Amino acid sequence: MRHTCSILLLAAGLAAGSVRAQVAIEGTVQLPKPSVDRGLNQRYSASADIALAPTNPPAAVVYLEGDFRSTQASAAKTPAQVAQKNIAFAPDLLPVLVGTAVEFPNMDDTYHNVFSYSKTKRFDLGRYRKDEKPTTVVFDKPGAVTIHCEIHERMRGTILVLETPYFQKTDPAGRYRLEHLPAGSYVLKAWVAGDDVRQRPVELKTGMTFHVDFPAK
Amino acid sequence: MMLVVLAVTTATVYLAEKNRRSNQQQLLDAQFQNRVQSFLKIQAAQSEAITEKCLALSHSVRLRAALEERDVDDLYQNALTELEEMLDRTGASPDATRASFFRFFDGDGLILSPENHPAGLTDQPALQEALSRMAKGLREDDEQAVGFIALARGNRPSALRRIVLTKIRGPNGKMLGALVVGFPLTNLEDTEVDRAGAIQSGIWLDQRLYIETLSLADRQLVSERLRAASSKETANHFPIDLESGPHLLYYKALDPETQFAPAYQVCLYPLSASIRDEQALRWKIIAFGLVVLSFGFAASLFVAKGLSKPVEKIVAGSVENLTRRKQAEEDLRETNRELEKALTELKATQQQVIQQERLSAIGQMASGIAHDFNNTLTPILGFAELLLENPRLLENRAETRRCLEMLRTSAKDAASVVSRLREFYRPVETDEEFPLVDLAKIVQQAVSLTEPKWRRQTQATGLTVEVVAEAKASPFVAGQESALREVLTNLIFNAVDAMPQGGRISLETSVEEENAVIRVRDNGAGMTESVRQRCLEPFFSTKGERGTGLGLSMVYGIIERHRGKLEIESAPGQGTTFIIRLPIADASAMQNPESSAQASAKSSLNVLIVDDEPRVLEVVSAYLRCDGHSVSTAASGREGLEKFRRNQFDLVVLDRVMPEMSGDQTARFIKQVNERIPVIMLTGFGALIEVSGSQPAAVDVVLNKPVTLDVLRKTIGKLLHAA
Repeated sequence: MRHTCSILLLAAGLAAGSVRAQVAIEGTVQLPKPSVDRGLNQRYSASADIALAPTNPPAAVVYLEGDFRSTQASAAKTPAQVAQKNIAFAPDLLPVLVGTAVEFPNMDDTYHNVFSYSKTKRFDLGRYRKDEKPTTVVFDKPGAVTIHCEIHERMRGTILVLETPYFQKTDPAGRYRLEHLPAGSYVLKAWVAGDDVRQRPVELKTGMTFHVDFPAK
Repeated sequence: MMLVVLAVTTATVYLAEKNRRSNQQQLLDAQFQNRVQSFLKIQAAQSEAITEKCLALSHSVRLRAALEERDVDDLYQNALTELEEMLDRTGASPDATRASFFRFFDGDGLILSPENHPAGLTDQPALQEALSRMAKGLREDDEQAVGFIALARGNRPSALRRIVLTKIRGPNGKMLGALVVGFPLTNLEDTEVDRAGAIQSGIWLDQRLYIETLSLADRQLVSERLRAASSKETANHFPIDLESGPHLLYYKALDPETQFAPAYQVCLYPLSASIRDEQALRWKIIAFGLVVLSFGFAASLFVAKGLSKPVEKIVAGSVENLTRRKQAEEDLRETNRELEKALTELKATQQQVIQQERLSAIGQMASGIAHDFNNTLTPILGFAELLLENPRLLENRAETRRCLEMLRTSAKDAASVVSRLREFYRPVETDEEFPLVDLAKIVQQAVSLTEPKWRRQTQATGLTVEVVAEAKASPFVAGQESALREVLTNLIFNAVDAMPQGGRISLETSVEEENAVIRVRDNGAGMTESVRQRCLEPFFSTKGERGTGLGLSMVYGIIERHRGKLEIESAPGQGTTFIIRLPIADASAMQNPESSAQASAKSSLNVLIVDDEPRVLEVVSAYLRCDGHSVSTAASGREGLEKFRRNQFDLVVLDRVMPEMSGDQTARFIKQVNERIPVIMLTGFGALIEVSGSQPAAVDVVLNKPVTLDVLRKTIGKLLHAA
């Protein structure tokens, strides 16, 4: 399956090549349909949980995999943010470079308690309110970290810790555009969900814009 | 003369015997069924509580997260914290409400092994195998399933476990895994304190019989009959002849819907015991006949004596006559003794019947209390959650205060529900003295207390449920405040359940002809005539699995107790109106409640509090500190005693049940050191002590937990005043 995709994509990519001053890749990731909320047994959800049901639109992260250790020094000095707003994580998918610090401010009038049991990064911020500032978490290992709120069972988010500075989150339609890429051979990957990572090799040449689509597996 | 007596006696004995025969069988059946039913009811109530708890647990975010990450360590650690109260860590005696083990399955039905975690039962192959089989049998749509497994072969019911499987689903409804909790099964004997060997009970599981005491032949016999019977009916009873004598066998499927191996509760009632009873009764009847006969003889003797007096004079002194008379007197004394014996036996039998009635009542009461207790917990949970979830609310002092007052009222009600257990060892008082209560106020409180429930319903469905109190008058009645509140909260809960489409509930208070009247009106689904007629019966419910069928029967009981009347007006689609009429009391007779502040001791005291429960310690210290006393605390009797020896105290407050050294012992030691220091004992068994009169000598006053500030103050005031 993956091979078929790659061949298709390769053809598409070459056809779209155009002359530019720098290397760029653009394209579309075919995203899964928004999941239907099963409406978990409401008897056991906290009352504040019931009123809301914002199912976050699906999104993916596209990134270039390779050895970029030399360029990493310049990455992410300012901490990134995953806020809790309207009983949801905003954003609910955040790609960061390894070593990035992330803040988790509470914008709601209720308590939140963000934690993760992921092997990549375990942490537990405890309960805090709007006016309390929880500790900042540094994500020092690559991998996907699923985050939860202990109080609100439907809150769920992912922090994707990457070893490359070349990544972008797609828009809700699945479109992306990566710019200022170095020339060379790499693997371009699209992270859609924990077990759905699509990839294909790319040969980047200076001054070209490539077009790579990632259809559903 | 003799003939008439003989004829009458024979006829009486014959009729009594005939009547007895037909009654006996019916009585036996009814008695047995009654006991088995109440036993099963208790079991059902326990099981319901267990499944609810598991369902709540399956929604824990932490458990889900750990399961998703397949982090077994976190999974068991978190579950252990949540299940702490439910898990039986001692393993000493099986208790059906306490889980003997728990496990998690992953999404593929494989057991996640609880390495290094005390999740109960070591991983024996039998358990692994049985649970894996269950995981495979779980249907896609089921959130929860109940089944039974045997941990070991053999006949002992203690090898059996009731298994509650609860699915844990991920954000998209995908099954992440399942929580499995195993409970031992209750045995009927455990709940009976009756004659030895009265009823044997066990389980018929997967074509195998688990009853400990049967012989091999009997076991086979019972198994055969059950195999045949259970394939046709899920519950039935029939007589069966065993080696040990004739028995009545009753069986019932424990969970008829189960997709797992079916399990049946089996009860055997020995008819031999009842045959003994029957024979005893027959002898009593014959003895009674003899007595009547002898009276007849005596009477005829008397008449004969009168007639033959002149003749007798002639033969006076005749030795033969004298012997005969002595013989008759001896006979009379003999029958008299028999009669007395029969009477005592009859009394004993009667006592037994009463005891049996009580036991079945305990069964109903237990589920009743669980039901009411849950009702009072609803506002406690609701308001507490409200305060925790909305930090803004805490800044509004008036609103916070209102919530806290609601919490206190509900907690007091919960305490009074538990105190109702006392009615089992307290002789029923025919003239209960009630204080005067303001009905309109109680209505208002009931509306506020139920608010979390109907507000939540409104939020959940988006359809408005409105509850309003309309006080046209504000009459006083003699009554128990908490019981009357319970009546109204029950009616409001029912009304809310009857209005899935939303609607309006009104509680109108008025005065009509010497009666205080409350009308609880809803515009919900209403009842059909047959439902209306049956709705007050215990265990009658239209709410299916969600209902216990006890709410309205409680309501009815409470109103009866208050010498009131309950009327119901209802028609399908027209809504329902409950009309409660209570006799009005003279409000002018109402006394001003004694101001609690006055009763409190004026001076500041040095108080020692001993309790192993830190929360009780905290609350009682806060109470006393608030009144300006200085407080020292101790977490055990030993520590308390040490502090007592080293410091000067004016008063000791201690718990009764503590590990190491009990409250009774501690009190005794304290009195040995200084017998003039008053000792107050706080106990969950206060009511029991009060009734049975077993108050420990070293204790001055016994107070019931939970204790309120007011009661504590008054007691301290009284004690020190007396001193």
